[in-house]
Amino acid sequence: MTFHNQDPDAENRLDERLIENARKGDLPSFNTLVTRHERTVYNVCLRTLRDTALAEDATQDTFLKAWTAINTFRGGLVRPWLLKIATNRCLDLLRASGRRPAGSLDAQEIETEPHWSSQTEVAEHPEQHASRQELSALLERALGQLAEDQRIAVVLADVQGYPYEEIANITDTAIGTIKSRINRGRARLREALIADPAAREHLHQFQRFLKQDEEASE
Amino acid sequence: MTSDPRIFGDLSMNGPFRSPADADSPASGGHLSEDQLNLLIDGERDLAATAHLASCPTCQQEYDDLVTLRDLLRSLPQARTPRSFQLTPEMAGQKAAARGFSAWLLNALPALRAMTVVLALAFGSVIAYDIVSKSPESGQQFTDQAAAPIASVTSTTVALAPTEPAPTATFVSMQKVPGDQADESAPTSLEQDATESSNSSGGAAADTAPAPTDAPDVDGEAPMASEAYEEATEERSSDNASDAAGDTAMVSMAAASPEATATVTPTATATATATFPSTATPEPTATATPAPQSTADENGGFDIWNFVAAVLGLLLAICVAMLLFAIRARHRTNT
Repeated sequence: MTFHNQDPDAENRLDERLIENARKGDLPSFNTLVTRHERTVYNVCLRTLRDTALAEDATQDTFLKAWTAINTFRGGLVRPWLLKIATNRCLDLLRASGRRPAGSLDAQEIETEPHWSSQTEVAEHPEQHASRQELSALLERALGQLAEDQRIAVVLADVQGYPYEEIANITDTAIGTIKSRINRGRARLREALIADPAAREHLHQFQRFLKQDEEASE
Repeated sequence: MTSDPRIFGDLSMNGPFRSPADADSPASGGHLSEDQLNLLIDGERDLAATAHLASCPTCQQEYDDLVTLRDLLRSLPQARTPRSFQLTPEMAGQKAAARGFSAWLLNALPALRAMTVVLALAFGSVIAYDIVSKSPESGQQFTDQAAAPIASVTSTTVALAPTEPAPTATFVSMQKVPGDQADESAPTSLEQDATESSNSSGGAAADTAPAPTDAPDVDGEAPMASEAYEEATEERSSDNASDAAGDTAMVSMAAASPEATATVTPTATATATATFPSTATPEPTATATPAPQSTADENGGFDIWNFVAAVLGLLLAICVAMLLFAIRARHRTNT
C-alpha cells in the first residue's frame, strides 16, 4: 500500500513548499519532509537490501545526503528525488557488501519483525488470509532472489505502485528498459512460486478464493 | 521445472517461461508473449490478445498468475520505520556549517597553511632584524615590550655566534634578561646598579677577578650589561660555582677595560653582531659603534619595525586561529 491517498497535487505542492524552505536552511521544514517520506524510503531500502539494519543506515544516509545536497534539487517532485538518492545508496551498500545473496529478510523475519504492519483486509476469509500470508512470505523470499535492477523495478512498480515514468526518473533509465525489467521480474517471481508445489497450491487456492469473491459480489 | 498437469494443463509443455521464439502471434496459434501479457496486466487494450486469452487456457492461466502476483505484491505489508529519521540540529548543523564558512576554510586550508608559515617566517625575520639592529637603549625598551619571542631568537643568534669574551655568561644573561628584566622598570640609579652588579659579580669570583671596583667606569651606558652579569653570576654560582667564578671573572675583567664597555654592552642587549666587531677590534672606536646605531633607532627605525612586527604578529595570530578552526571543522565533518 502506498501513502499518497490524498490529493496528489496538494501533496506535491506541500512538498515543494517544504523543500523551498529547507533550501533556505530551515531544518524543521526539511524534517517535515523526512516524516512525510521516511516510511516510503525505508521500505524501498528494506526490500532492496533485504536487511533491516542496512535499510536503516541507507534511509538515514539518504536524508543526510538530501540535506547536504539540497541545492542540487532541480525542482519537480520530491519523492522521486529522494528515492533516487535512496536506490543509489542501496546499490552502493550492496556493492560494498560484495553483492551477497539477498534473502536474509526471509519469511520468519517478516513475520516476527515487530515493526511490520499488517494491512490485509479484516473481512478476508481465514483460509484466504492464511494463503495470502503464506504467499506473501514466499514472494518476499522470491523478491530477494531477483537481480538487483529487476528487484528495484518490481518493488517500485508493484510493491510501491509508482508509474513507469517515475521509476525511469528514479533509476535514470529509459522507460522501455524499466518495462522490460518489470516484465522479467514478474515472470521470474511466478516461476519461483510455481516451481514449488506447495507454493503453487497456495497460489491456486488463493485464486479460487478470489474467484469466489468475484462471483459472490456479482 | 515440473508442473502439475492437473493444475496447469498444457502449461507444462511450454514450461512456466517461454522464450520470445514461443511468442507467436495469437492468430498463428502460438501463445501470448511476456510483453503482451504484461501490457494486458497494465491495462493496455489489445483486442486480439484478449480474444486469445479467452480461447487459450495456458495463456489465461499465466495471465491470472501474473495478475495475482501483482496484486499480492501490492498488498505486501509496509514496514513501519524502526525510528524517526529526522535530522538532529547536530547532524544538520554540522553539515550546514560545512556548507558555509567552514567549507570555505576547508578549501582554503592549504593556502592557509602556507600563509601561516610565510607570516611566521616574516614575523621571525622582523623580530630578528629588530634585535640585530638594536642599540642598548632601545634594547631595553624592546625587551620590556616583547620578551618571549626575543628570548628564543636571541638565544639562537647568540648560540650560533662564536663570541670570544665570556660566551657562557653572555648566553646565560640573554636567557635571563627577557623574563626578569621585563618585570623591572629601568634602573633609577644606573651608576648604583652598575656598581652593585660589579661588586656582586666580583664577590662571587673574588679570588680571580682582579679589578671589580673598576666596573663603575661602565657608567650609565650599560645598565643591562651590569645586571646581566649579576644575573648570570647568580645563576651560575648557584648551579656551578667554580665555572661561574671563572666566567664571571673573565667578563668582569673585560668590563673593567674601557674598550670592553662597548664589547659587553651590545652583547647584553642581545646583539651577536655587535659583539663581533667590537671584540674583533678592541680599539676605542668600538665604543663609537653602538652610538650611531642607537641614534638611528631613536630616529624612527625602532618604531616602524615594532609596528611591522605587531601587524605581522596580529596577522599570524589570525591565521593560526583560522587554521585551528579549519582543522576542527574538518575533524567534525569527518566524524
